[in-house]
Amino acid sequence: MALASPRVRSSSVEAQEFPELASYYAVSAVPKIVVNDKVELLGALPEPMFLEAVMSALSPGAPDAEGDEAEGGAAAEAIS
Amino acid sequence: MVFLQDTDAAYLRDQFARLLTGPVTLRLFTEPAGGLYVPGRRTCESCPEAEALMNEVAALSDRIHLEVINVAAQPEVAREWGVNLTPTISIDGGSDAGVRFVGLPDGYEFTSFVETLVSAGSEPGHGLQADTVQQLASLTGDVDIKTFVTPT
Repeated sequence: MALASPRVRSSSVEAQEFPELASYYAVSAVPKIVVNDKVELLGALPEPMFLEAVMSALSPGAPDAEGDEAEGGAAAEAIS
Repeated sequence: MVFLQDTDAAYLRDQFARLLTGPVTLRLFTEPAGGLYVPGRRTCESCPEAEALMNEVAALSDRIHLEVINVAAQPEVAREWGVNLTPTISIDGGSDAGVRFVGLPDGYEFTSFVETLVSAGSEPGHGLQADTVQQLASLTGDVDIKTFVTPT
């Protein structure tokens, strides 16, 4: 999607190498996908469902992803 | 070849020759070991491996260009590319496509890495359905996707 749209950026993060980041985003299983720090998806999804998740992340009112701001804020900023 | 076995290297060389129709730039943001030890600061253990692996991949095709950026020496370049973790590899077919691999793309991740590289260097540049592309064109805001993976 990042290759198809200038609005999309995509990072593939090696969870074992960056445990503090994985912990901040509460990664319990892989692949875990987080869109705009709001929408969380676990496992591989069919393309239309994934697109729906991307679109919903842009809609107002989407809840923020869980995370301990005090502990992981810096880690989250490190990659955003 | 240290990381890639000869048979894998030969396979990839053949794939790249057949599939890459345009240039691909790999930008590796790295922080070489050595120098001053700063307590509390993470040392980049996989940076040397990442650099060796990228060198091997780049050697497999004339269309693949590798740029190595030492973030300690060029922090302004890392900032410009929004890179704060090392190693990070950006893949693009010209302008910044916003694709990053954070951490060593090892194991299964190497397959994803190669697939992304091939997509970036070929037409249409992605493997998405027409409907998806159409919807992405109507995006009104920026989208940041983080995918957490492990090599196994």
